[in-house]
Amino acid sequence: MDRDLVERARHGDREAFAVLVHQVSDSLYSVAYRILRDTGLAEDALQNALILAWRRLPKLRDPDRFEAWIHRILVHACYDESQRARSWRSTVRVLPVDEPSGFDEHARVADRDELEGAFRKLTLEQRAVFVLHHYVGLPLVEVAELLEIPAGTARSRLHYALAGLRVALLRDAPPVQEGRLA
Amino acid sequence: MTDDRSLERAARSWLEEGPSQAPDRAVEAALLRVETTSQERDLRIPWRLPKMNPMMRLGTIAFVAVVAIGGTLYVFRPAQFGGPSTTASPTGSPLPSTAPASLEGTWETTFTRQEMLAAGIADAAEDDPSNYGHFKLAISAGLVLTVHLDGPQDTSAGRYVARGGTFTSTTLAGETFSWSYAVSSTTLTFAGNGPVTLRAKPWTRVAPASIEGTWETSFTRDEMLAAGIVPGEDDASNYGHFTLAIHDGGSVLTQLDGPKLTGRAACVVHGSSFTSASTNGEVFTWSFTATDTTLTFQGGPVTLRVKPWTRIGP
Repeated sequence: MDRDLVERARHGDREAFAVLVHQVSDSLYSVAYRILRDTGLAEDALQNALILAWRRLPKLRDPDRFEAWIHRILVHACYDESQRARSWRSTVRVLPVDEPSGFDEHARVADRDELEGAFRKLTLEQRAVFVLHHYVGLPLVEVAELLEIPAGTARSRLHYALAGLRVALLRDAPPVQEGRLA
Repeated sequence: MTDDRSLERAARSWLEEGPSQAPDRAVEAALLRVETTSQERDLRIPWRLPKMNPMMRLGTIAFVAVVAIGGTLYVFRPAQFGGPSTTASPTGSPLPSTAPASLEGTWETTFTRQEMLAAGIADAAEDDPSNYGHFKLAISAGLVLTVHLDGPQDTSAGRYVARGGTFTSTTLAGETFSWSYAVSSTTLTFAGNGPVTLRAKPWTRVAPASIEGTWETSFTRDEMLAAGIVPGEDDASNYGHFTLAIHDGGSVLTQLDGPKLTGRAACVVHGSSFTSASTNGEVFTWSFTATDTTLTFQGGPVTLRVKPWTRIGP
């Protein structure tokens, strides 16, 4: 990320901010979609995150942390968006067009449907940690840092997310509640 | 898919599916909104009280945040857009339903940093670029709005009472600032110990903007959705049949059907920019194009910009 662009945007340069937006919006939208599992909600979360980021940009202390900072704003926008009642919520799901690469023998269509159903039973906090770790590829310590939660909490959420997926895949089980790790 | 590794592997592959590019419309809509959205900056509000105590300073920051955050909220929902007699001051005292006629309107002034310093500032903190430059001031319906037309283009809004030669403005955070004032048909002058921006130079009354008058439009919910909304704007108070009256630094939006809400705001017209401050302190800016008979808004909350407005009266 270009530090100069961030600095210029911090000082009110809208063109610099637009350049930054075009650099990060695909990543932000991808993460939002994977947390919310809804293209309409993901679009709204992205828009809200971008607008909020613009407003709060002067308060960003370390320009080098821009990407992590804006992802944090996005995750919170996802939390907000999921709670918003929307009568016009999109019911159209985006279906994959291309066969994904590296899809192993377990990933049959039935498994994908099961994963979709199982993932939706996770809490948003569990989904966020799971997506940031397994999709974005951040180490758990960085996930915790990004979300401003203790590393133990991130580890716990990931554990319960995985447990939730496993249980839900084995049977149509109720959501797994977070507890304390032994 | 029962052991953790195969489950993780399958979950990762599954996560890879789905869209990976942000829709252009979402990005462009956000950038369009950014065009009319101010950034949050601490203590840049022009109306600083000298020697604020910590609680008052906190209040100022909170008010700046309220004004800035207002950009994402929609203007015309029932709980936020009271009618002419529904607002109350933070202290519970009644606000005048109308200001003295000579004070209402739009005013303009320009002064340099040197002129600001010559007028006297309370402390070094008041020596801030947001406190000098070119300003417009709208006073209407118990609301006051300043727009900084150069530099950071900040806005400030509050409620006010003008009584006995004293102009007292109260922000939503409950801060109160007072100036003495003198007004004529062409000039408004502030003095006293209030924050420097209002009192640095006399204000000159601005001639009515070309878009002053009464306008009308009507649109359906589907047309509103097609115009693009932000979350929360899909509300019955935001579509239907409306009139918009713009006069003397104020605007009145009246919904003629549906919830039939009326909202008042102080507004500043500058060039092709229309900025309004509603009774709850939210400030929004739209750009507009206008002919004698048609007024079209862009940017800002949805209600004004769905369809062109047609002039129905002076």
